[in-house]
Amino acid sequence: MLLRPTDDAALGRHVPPDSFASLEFGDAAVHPSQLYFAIAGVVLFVVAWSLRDRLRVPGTLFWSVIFLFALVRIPLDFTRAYEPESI
Amino acid sequence: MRLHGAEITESQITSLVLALFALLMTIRLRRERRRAREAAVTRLAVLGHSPPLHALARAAPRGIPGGGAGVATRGRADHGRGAPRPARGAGRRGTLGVSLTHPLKAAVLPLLSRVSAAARLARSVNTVGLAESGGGRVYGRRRVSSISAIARALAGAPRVLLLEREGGAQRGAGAARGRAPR
Repeated sequence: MLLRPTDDAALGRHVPPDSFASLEFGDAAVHPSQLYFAIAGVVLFVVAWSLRDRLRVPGTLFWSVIFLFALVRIPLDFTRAYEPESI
Repeated sequence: MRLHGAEITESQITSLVLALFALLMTIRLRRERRRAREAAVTRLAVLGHSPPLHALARAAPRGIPGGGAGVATRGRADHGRGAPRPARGAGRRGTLGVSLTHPLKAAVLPLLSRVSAAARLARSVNTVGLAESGGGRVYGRRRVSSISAIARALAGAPRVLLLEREGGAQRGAGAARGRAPR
């Protein structure tokens, strides 16, 4: 997984020049997709915690979290860059 | 793969498939739980037209006071328009009996395998217990296996229904004309 370059000045971050990612992107601004995923994980945990009393049927909370994670993953994947051969 | 100019990755397609699978699993688990709960609950059914009982059954379809579940029948059966039709779920497992309203209280008498003394004296049966479903009380001379069986048996009793509606004197006249209640 690599970071995807962006023109968004507010979200774009520059990777350190001596990092592995700089070999690919240089000084270009990229999406901090790792942070997006971390924040999404925290939000997902809060949502799941708030649903724990409402979803009383055993197993439904688990599958609901899987469902939500899969939904969150789809838009977040637009901020990631993959090797061309893997797309 | 591109969709409306956006590049769709295999990871996103996999996520979409996973989301659909998780949604189906959630729906399946909830459905299984609901079925298990319905099978465990005591069911009561109402045959005939009784506004208070029907209102009770519809108001609390999954839990009448006392731990039962009410199932109302469709349509009015006491105006000679044909047999009562049990509503969906009336004959499910766990149904212990059926509450009848006039004129079905009398029409059902020939169908039962055991009748209490009071019901025989009054020529009126208020509650029918179903033997196969574990009901403690069974009234009548013939075993009644299901609510659908009661409804089918009462299908041939429009005359009884009509006479009942018009009063006891008409009932006697009907019997004299050979209209034996079924």
